[in-house]
Formats: sequence, C-alpha cells, structure tokens
Amino acid sequence: MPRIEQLPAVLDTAAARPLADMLRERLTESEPLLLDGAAVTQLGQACLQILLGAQQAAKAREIALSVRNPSEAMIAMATLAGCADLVAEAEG
Amino acid sequence: MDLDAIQQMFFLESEEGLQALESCFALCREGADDAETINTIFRAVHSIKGGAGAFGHEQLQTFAHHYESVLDQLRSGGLAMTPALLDVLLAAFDKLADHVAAAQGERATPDDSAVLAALAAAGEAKAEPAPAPAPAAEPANTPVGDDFDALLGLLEPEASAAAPTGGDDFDALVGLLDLDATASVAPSSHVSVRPSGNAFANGSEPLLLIRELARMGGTNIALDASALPPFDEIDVQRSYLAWTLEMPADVTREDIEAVFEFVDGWQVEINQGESAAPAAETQKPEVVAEPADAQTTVAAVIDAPTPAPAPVAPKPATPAATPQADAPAAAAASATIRVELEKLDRLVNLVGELVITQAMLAQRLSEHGLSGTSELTSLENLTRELQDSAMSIRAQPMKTVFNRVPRIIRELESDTGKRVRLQLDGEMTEVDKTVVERIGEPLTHLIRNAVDHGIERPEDRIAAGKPEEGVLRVAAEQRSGRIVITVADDGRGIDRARVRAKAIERGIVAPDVNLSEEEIDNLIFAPGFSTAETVSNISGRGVGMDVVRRNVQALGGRIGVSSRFGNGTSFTLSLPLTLAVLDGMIVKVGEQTFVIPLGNIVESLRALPGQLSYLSQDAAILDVRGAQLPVLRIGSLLGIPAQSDPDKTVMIVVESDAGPAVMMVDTIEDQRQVVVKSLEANYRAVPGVSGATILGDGRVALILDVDGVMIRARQRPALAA
Repeated sequence: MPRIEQLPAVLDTAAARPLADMLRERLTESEPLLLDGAAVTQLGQACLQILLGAQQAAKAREIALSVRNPSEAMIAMATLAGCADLVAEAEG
Repeated sequence: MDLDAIQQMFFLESEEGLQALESCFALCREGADDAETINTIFRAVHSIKGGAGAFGHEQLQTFAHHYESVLDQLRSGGLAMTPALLDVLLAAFDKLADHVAAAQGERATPDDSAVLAALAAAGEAKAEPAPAPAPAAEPANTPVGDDFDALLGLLEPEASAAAPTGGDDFDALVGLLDLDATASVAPSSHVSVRPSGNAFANGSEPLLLIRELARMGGTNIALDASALPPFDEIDVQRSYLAWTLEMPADVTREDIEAVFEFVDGWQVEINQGESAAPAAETQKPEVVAEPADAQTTVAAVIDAPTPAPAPVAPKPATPAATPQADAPAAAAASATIRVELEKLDRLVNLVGELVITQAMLAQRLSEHGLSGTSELTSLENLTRELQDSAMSIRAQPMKTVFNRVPRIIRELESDTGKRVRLQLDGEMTEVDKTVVERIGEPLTHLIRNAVDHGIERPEDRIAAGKPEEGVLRVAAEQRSGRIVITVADDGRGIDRARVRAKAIERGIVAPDVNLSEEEIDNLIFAPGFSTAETVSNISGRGVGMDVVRRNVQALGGRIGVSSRFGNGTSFTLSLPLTLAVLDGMIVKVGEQTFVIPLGNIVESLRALPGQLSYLSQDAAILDVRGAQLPVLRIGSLLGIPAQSDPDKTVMIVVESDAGPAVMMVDTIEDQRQVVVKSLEANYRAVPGVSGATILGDGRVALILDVDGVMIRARQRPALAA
C-alpha cells in the first residue's frame, strides 16, 4: 500500500520548506508515495520546484511517487507553469 | 535595490501613470480622443496592471485587467468613444486610483462591483458581434492569493475564439493553454524568462508574471528545469526554474517588458520575428536533464549585479549576447533619475550654507575695502545661480496638484447635481515641492466651496440667463517671484447683504459698523463664519475659509477674494515659490536684528505728532489714514531694551490673521532674501518666531511670525488694544 500524504490547500513560498521536509523524510522510507492534491487552491513556484525535484529523486531511487486527485486549481497552475505532466501522471 | 524599494518605485510610477491618465481624460472630455491619447491611456493602465501582478496585488491587477480589456477594444476600434463610455472609463479611472491607494495600504479595498459591471456592459456593446460571451460574471473582488480564480481571468472574450467553445471555464482554460489547440496562432516573438535566484524574496511569486504573459496571449509555455539541483540540495528560498513562451504578433516588446518592469535581476530575452520553435535547451519536466553542470552557469548569471533599476534590458543584438553587453544600453535608456528627497534637501541646505558663507565673506572683504573685486562678484553670481538651480531641482509643476481637481469636480457634480466645466490653466507652473504638498488641502476646499456655494443648480442658472453648465477656472502663474493661484467660478457671487447679516448674527461684527465691499467679502474668512443654510458634507461646516486662510498664511502666502453678485467669485492665492528662502525686511530693535517677512508688510512709516495715541503707558494706537491700528512694541514684547520715542522709531504696518497692526521697531536696515533655518530642528519652537537666518556678519537674526507676535501681544493686553 502506498503511503498517502494530503497536500495543504496553500502551496505558496512559505509552504515550500515544510513540503520539502516532508518529502525528504518520506523518500528516505523507500515506500511508494501518493500526494493527494484535492485540497490545493494555490500552487506557487517554490512548491512546484520541490514537487519536481522530489519526482526526479523518486525516479532516481526507483520509488513510485505521484499526485492523485489534483484540484482544478492545481492542474491549472501546473499547466500554466508548463508541467502539466506533474499532475497528469497521477490521473492516468 | 531590495524588493520593497522596487515596489515603492512601482507605486511612484503608478501615481505618475494616474496623473497621465487624468491629463488624457481631460483631453477626451474636450473631444480630443485621438488614437495616441487612447493608446497612452491603455499603456498607463497596462503598466499598472503589470506591476500589480509582479507584487501580488491581485485585486488591483484584476480590476486593471478588466479596465484594460475595454480600453483595448477602444484602441482597436471595436468600441467607439461616446459620452456614456467616457463616463464609464472615468468612473473606472477613479476606482483604479482607489485600488492603487488600497494596494499602498492608504485605504480599504474599494467596492468595484458596480464599475466592473459597467465595464463589462461597455465591453459587450462593441460594434461587431462578440464571438463568445464575455466573462462578465467574474467575481468582482477576487480573494487575494486565490490563483485559480484569477487564472480563470485568462479567459478573454477575444482569446476564447481559440479555445474550445461550449465547454466549461476550466475546459476552455486548459484548451487555451494546450500546445496543440493554439498551434494555429502565429506568434511573432519568442520570450525566455529566468527569475532571479532570490525571486521569492518578500513573498513574491514569479508564476504570476508567467500568468500575466499567458493573459497577454502567451502560448507554448515550456518549462526549463535544467537548473534544478538534486532534491536534497534544493534551497527552498531559491528560484531554479525558467520558461519560454511564444507571444502573439500584436504584443509589442514594450508590452512584454512592462510585465517585468518591477522585478530585479531576472533574465528576460525577447526575440522578435523569429521562428516559433521552442528553444533547444527547454524541455519537459519528465525528461529533466542531469542538473550538475547547468546549475553553476545559471548561478553565475543569478548572482551578477544588475546595473539599473529597470531589470529588462533592451533587446540584445543577438540572442547569444551576454548580460554585460546589455548594461550600457540600459544605462542610456533614461534621461531622468530618481533621487531620495533627503539627499536633495541636504543639497539645498548646503547651498543655503554657501549663500550665508558667501555673504559673510563679502561682509569681511568690505570691511577691508575689497568689496568691489570682480572675483567676489563672480562668486556672488555663481552662488545665486547655484541656489536657483538647487531650488529648481525641488520644484514641481502645479500639475501634480491640478491633476486631482477633475476627480473632485466629478464627485461634486455627482453629489450636488450641478454641472461644472473645469478649466485648468498654468499646470506646468513650477513651485517648490513643499508648497505643492501643502497647497492641496486649501485648494481643494476652495474648489468644493466654489461648486457648493458659488455655482448654481442648472435650473437656477437657466433662470438667471446663464448656460446650464457652470465654469470653474483653476489657474496658476508666476508673478513677481511668487506663484498666484486663482480659483474663479461664474456662479452667483457673494451676497454681501446676507454675509453682513450673518456676520452680525454671529457677533463677528457690530451691527452699526460701516464696512466696505472688500471688508464684507473678507468676512467669509472669519473663524466660524458660514452662510450655508444646511451643513453639507461638501463644505459649510463653518470651519472652512478661516482654515484655508491660516493654511495659506502658514505657507507665507495671502488669500484675497473678489466677487460680483450674480456673476461669480474669484479667490486669489499668492504664495512664495519656495519656503527655503524668504524675502524679508531686516530691522533692528535695540541691539537685536529681526527679519519681518515681506509678505506680511503693507507699508512702513514714521509716526507724525498726533498720529500716535497712548491708551496707557504701554498700549498705543496709530492712526493710519483714519484706521486705528494697535501698535506692537517689539522691544517691550520680547523683553529687549529699545527705543520708545516715536521720532526715533519706525512703524511697520503688517497684515495678520487678526487684521492689520503696527510693529514698532528702531530702524530698518535692509530688505533682502534670507535663507530660512528651522528653529524647531535646531532649538525648539518659540511663539512669535518662525525661524532664524544668518546674516552676512555672522549674526543670527530671528524671523518674526507676525501672527504669533499678535497672539503674544493679545496675551499681554496692555501692549495692544
């Protein structure tokens, strides 16, 4: 069973550090990880690059990591930022 | 430059933009709504919108966006300027000014729903049928930080033509951003954006600017994450991403640069007229390259100091040009610079010191018979020129004050139902910054008074055989080294019988006193005088005109009024061009030297036998052509041994808040311009003394505050009747 983490509603610059800390800790556990984005209303660049970095690291460590249930706001911001695949992967 | 300083610059430029808008709308009201004027209006709003986006002022940005959409239709010929549309644009302009003030924390966020609805309605009234319904129902007040709601604002009526129709907003949004769906749009410029490493400082959000580019029609947004370090090395405070976009043909380089006007240290490259192919180095996130090498090269660019406040350098000669190559072009871009007021004040202060030192040198040389040397004359000329130049740096055009007037008139028209045509003259007349800053309040009161009390209602004007629309003229001009501001209306004029009756009723004048027309007119400046039948929130609180006069006098100025019953009233304010130097009369009282501001002096004379009457040992009255004026014996008042023999003293007739009076001094030494030194800043406030100056012989002379002296005299009634 993959571990599920709820992403907070606001993923702005202030949220980047707790998000990075959480993901760094989870990635040391070598368990599949699902990030639930249903509550996300705001996604900024600082958190976006943390998510991208975590995705790369998970891939390099062969740990399954994906975003599920991304909110419309999250999809819209990720699409705007040119990384729709970050959230699209989870949908598929 | 830190982000706060850049934001401050944005606010300053927004104020300038608002002023430019006011000037343009004044032209529009006169029918001069040509393409250039409309374009200037569009650009000013666009620039404010761009800066608002950069600093996360969502509500300002959203409002400006809707405003800009209508202006864009006007600019492109989709809408025609009509009086009704102009009214909507003016209302939106006022609301935009409110939003800018709110963004600065000067007021609460305005309720813009009615204006947004009017803008939406105006936008729908375009000449050709709209291809898709306009998103008029967008929330009026988008919650701050609610990126998704604001992002839906991307769904422009015109842009929606490229988006799937019939779907919901979100489908349309995704369609708009989808690479394939927009492939048919022919882009003309290729933009690459790399935020600076510290782009998140002070809560800034770089994605807002990418969103702004998308709003402007940017497509094919591609992310470059090649600089992203290994996950464990990511500094959460540092920006690593970059983007490339294609911008459509109708978006100019200036439009794109305006988006990045208020960010510092970003790498922005705009390549126009090139292939729309994405840059080779950009890539999709899922195929992010090994970041190790890329990081170092990007970091070098991020850390490079930026040469000028404007972060967007002009287009480099080739896409491969280095950032260093852009620097000289950026430096040459502007002929003006912003200087902190503190530095300017210091310069003016030092020049003042130089003027004093030069005067002291001249005095010393004259004591040795060397006053006529050509070098001294040259020094005097240079010093005077330097002083004029320094003062001119602080000078600002009255336009900065006059620009607020149209809005005041619009609000008054709305509140009173009166119709007023505003005529502004002499906007470019320059005056010292301090005067500009402090004249606004009294001027506003005069204008409100003119519309509230002066100009009649349309039906009354027609009945009086006047045009329905009243005329209010606000003018500024330089005259004899002073600035003269006139506020004149063609309204009903001062009803002297009513003014006199009201003054008697309020005990301001005795019922049996004979008053000239001028004296009756001047009663409106008496404290507590008001002829308003009802107290309105516009004027008529009875605390107006006396405060106006006091404010004007605090600026070293005078206010006069002339009126013709039935034909209008004209107020004239005469003010010094600067408060840093003052024209004064140098007088001696005992061993002390004083300066009396020339602005207060009416005349000087020697008392003839019989002209001076003593009420007591200390109190005297001087008969000046029939007017009995109280005599203020400066020596006695300030505790200085001085002449008291009328034959050996000079009587200086002065004008004050409390009316005319006479100052008795020993001798008049000179009349000259003096550099004003603050007593408060260097010592403490002294009643009756407004400041000090240093004379050529090095002595300090106190500058008398005539009104303050009068108050001192009143506190010792034996000295003044």
